[in-house]
Amino acid sequence: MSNTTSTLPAGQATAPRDKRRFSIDSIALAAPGGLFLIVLLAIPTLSLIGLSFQGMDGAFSLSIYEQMFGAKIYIDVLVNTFSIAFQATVLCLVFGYPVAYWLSRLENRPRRFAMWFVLLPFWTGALLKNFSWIVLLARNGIANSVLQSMGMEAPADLLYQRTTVIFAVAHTMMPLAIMTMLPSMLAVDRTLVPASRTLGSKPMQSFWRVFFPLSMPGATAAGLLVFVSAIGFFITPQLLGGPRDTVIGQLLIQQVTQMLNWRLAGAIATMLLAVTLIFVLLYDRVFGISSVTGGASAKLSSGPVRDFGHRVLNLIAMIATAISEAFAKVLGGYRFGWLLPTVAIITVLVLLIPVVAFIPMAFGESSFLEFPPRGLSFRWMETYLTSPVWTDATLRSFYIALACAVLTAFIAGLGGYGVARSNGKLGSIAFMGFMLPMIVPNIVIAVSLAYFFANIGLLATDIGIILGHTVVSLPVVFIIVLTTFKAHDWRLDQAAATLGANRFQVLRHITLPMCQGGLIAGFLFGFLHSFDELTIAMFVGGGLRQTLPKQMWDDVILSVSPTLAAASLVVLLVVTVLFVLAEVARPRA
Amino acid sequence: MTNFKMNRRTLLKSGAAGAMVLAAPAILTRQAFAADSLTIGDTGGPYAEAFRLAFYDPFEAETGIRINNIVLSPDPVPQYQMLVDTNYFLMDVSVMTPEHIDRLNREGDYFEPLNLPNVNSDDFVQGAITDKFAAVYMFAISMGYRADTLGDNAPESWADFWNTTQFPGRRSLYRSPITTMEIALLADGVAIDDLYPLDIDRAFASLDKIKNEIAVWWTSGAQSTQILQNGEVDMLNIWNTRAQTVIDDGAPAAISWVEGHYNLGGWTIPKGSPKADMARRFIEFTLDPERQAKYTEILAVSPTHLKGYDFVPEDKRGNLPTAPGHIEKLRPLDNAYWGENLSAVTERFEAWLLS
Repeated sequence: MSNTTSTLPAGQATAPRDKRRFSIDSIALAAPGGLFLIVLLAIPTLSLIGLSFQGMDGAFSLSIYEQMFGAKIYIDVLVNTFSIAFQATVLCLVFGYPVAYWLSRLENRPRRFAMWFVLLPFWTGALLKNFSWIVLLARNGIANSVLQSMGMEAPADLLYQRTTVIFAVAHTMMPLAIMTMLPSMLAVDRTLVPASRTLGSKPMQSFWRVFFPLSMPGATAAGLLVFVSAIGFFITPQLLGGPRDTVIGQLLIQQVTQMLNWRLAGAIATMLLAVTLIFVLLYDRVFGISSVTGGASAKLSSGPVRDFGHRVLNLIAMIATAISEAFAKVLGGYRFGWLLPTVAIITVLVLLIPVVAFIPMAFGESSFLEFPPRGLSFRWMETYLTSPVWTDATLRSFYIALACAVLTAFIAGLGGYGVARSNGKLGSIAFMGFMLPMIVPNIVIAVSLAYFFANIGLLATDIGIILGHTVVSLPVVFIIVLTTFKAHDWRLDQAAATLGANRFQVLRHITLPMCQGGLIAGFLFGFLHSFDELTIAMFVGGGLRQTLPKQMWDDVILSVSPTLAAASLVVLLVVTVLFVLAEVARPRA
Repeated sequence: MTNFKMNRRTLLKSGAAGAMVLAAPAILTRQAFAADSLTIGDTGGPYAEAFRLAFYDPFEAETGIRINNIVLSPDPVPQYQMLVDTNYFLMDVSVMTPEHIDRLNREGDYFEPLNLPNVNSDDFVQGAITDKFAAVYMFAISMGYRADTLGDNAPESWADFWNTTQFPGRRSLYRSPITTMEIALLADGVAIDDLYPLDIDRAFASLDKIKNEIAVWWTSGAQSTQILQNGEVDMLNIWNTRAQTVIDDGAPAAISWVEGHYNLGGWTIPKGSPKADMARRFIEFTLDPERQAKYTEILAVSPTHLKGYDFVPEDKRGNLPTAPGHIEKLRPLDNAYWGENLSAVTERFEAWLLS
């Protein structure tokens, strides 16, 4: 999901207007995508919701809701879910903002280099990072050794604590936050801050009253995306949390994969979806989510909110200025230049720690995952390579990802072209449609699809997983393709057309070659998204069709052997190679 | 295959790992599918290693049929059900306990009959051989603790485990009502022979007293091993096999057998399996007493064949649940009780955990 918004040039000039006839024509290209999402998103979700309102006899009944609200735990778990997601989102914004700000002030080349260190932890997936934490934060693990060497007496209980869960969720989501905030910071006119300084503002005032408000659209978008992703997220609470940190996702897994209780699962999913949508609507009222979808900078909506925001900012600016001026006096000048890079670099290093830490674990001798590992051996690498369970899962992930990438690129390619070439209302509707899988929590999509597929015989099939992965990869790929087409200079096509080329020839010889980079990047990101995906694979795979992430998940839960680290290393290699290819292919405005 | 292995090992060691990693799945999978093969669902960890040594490798050597193994979920019942319902045979043989079988029997017809004419059930411990189930091992669940932190002051009963002032330390319990309900009642003073049918209300009342002291509710055998091995907790209820793995690895852990329970584990064939005959051949192969004794080299479970004990190496006998001094303290788990009550009690248990 990462780069979606990062590729969005906020308020970019739209393509030159074509004749109306042409745009109606083009938007029809979004139809396959629309149909796809109706069949595989709308219908499954609605039928699961419908099921939850039926009694055992099929007639309308609220019995399952009475059962759900009667047992207090479902509400408690919903509260847990939102509270963890909210706190993690705040952490992401507070620590992600300085990193994005730092990145935005770097020159192009070093920025691109630094961004890889942010994106790598994103694409390596949540699973790997979280199981790394289990080892690193153990009571006798390395983190505690460090703490004790610094003079702490008893080992701290780091695992199975709410604080750790929130930290690890934030850690998982941080790259998404950073990459979402960055574009709007880059779009801020660099001369504005110096201009405010020449008008007599202190550095802190310039930042808080000029730069910060202008960077807000990215931050609000990041807040929403992180929050919605965190709501459906279950990996961290499952691996690092105790029973009191249980979230909705875990309950759904239990109801579906263990109890096969579809009605209750439907009711839980409906509740989650409803609360999420209410939240999104409220969020839109307060901040405007056009920023999420790449529209012109958010209209910081109505009077009261805006006034309040300004007052808060003024206050912060005053306090910050007072502090910085005081320090400046003591230090004899503004010597805080080191502060931002330090905070940013430390944050990025923390992002990388769990990714880097498991590499040596893959080559340990012990039968347990330990850090630092004892000895050096290739036995776990060998186990991974010779075990058909692991190699089957790896192969399956490869071909599912390939099929998903092809399908996604096709649907998103057509849709992106159609939307880019249309300026009408239909275009924005199609746009919102393609973004929908990002607003509906992944876990709701997964449960709905599993139910839908169970009814039509696609549960526990590879095709089912491919279709599911396509649904969730669509937004990312669509955005990449759409930006590419929007950045394309359509006058070239018109020129070719006036020279006598027909539409097919224009497409073949002008449009596609020029947009090639973006399309390839879209394809690769679709591949990566599927290769990395756990939620859909878990529900739709039915515990039988094992993809690599699902196999890794089972291993974390059931074996905790270093084979897992060996498998992770393979994932890291594949992801790095593809990611580098995609980044190289992607055109930059 | 041997040749290939040699080559690969040399290659890996010479540092060409990266390229191999990417190419290997394709090569190896073709190898795996080349011959006849059976996929077996076992409980992973030391079980998988021990069965590999005692059963899988010898069976491969004798028949040429390759054995692959996958690790089952802590509760394999839903997966098994799905597998038979969808006719997708992820595995051809699966380890189950009588409690799992009881639950599946309530849902429908999920097992192939074993039809083992050469096997005499009188040669085995009671209940080991039925028409759908062939037990190959006996295991126990009891208490494990860290000898380094608890030292001389080790808990010797579940009442001690509940006594947090006299026995301080970080505690963990199994996130399942099975055996957790039993020990809650034992801690509350119920005699081990009077447990069944369980007084569930009393068990929850007893659990209420310890709830805040439970740092981790472990969910899988591997996790219980991990947290005992790395010292994340000081005491927990744990399968003796999982605790023994920790002890064998050299960690300062110990097992208390007081007030524990034992159960059987063994093979079943999913209904409709296309490889049922091959699976039967495998199952019969594992019912040999000497082969069963072989797994005790790695895994601290007792053979189900009555003659099996004679073949167990001297130094391993003391680790088994059936060893003198252990078995007297253990009682059989009531599989029928759990077959009937598990889902209702689990629902209450999970709700209790979250409250």
